[in-house]
Amino acid sequence: MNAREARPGDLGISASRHAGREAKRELPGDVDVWVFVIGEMVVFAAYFAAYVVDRGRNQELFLQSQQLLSPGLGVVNTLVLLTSSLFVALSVRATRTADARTASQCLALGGACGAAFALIKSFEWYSKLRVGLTISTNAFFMHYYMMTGVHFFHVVLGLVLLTILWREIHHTDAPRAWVIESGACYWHAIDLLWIVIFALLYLMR
Amino acid sequence: MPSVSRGRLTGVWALLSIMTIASWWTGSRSDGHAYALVTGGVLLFALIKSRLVIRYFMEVRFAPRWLRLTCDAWLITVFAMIFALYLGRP
Repeated sequence: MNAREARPGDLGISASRHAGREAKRELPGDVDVWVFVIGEMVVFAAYFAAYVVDRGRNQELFLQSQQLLSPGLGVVNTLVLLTSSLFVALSVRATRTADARTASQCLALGGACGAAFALIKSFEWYSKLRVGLTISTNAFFMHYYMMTGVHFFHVVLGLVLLTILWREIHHTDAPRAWVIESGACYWHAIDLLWIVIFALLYLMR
Repeated sequence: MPSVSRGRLTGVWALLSIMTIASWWTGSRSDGHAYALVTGGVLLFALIKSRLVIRYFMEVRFAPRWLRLTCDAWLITVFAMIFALYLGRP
């Protein structure tokens, strides 16, 4: 059985180790990375639930505090992170077709957008802290700094990962596609979580 | 491993960007008291955007069934839970 014959729906658990290995090729990236990413998604889901429960108990406070955020910056940051994801996805595609130059350029652009996200977020925090809106101001701002702070940590970790991937593409004769796919998967998960965070903190009423 | 075409990836990105602006607009329509409607719209946009990222950027549309089902289960659970908790607030 070769890769073309592997059924797309296969999990990779089959009687034949060879068949299992081939079927596994349908998974973008490494299965361990996916387990880690899904674990992160579940942890964030629990936090989203805790936030909405807390919000329900203090709706007026949350609505008033939400007006003090900068939704324009939130929108720009969402667009920046989506653009970053696009470049990283294009890099994965180029890696598979052995187009190292495009893969490297797209990954660098994806990383640059990720860094821009971090800068804009830092500026947003600074603008809030400057007018006295801190983590201890009220329950809403506690969640705002916690949720965006934990996400920010993931962005920084993702940027380190993108740098490692860039080195893999730039300094290796034959970059391993599964390594690039795995790193990209983590980066897109950061984008995915931001989409929910943006809706919860900035938009829901 | 099949790849999503460059044109489709760009198209998905454009759609995601348009929906981001649309959800911002929806979220700013809070002058009345139709908060549940506004929040429902915002969450619907976020759900569609999340699924597009999962399916096209994370390439789950080409992934094994267990991963496709896990991702869809996460999406349904998270957004149903958020909206139910929102509607069930005291």
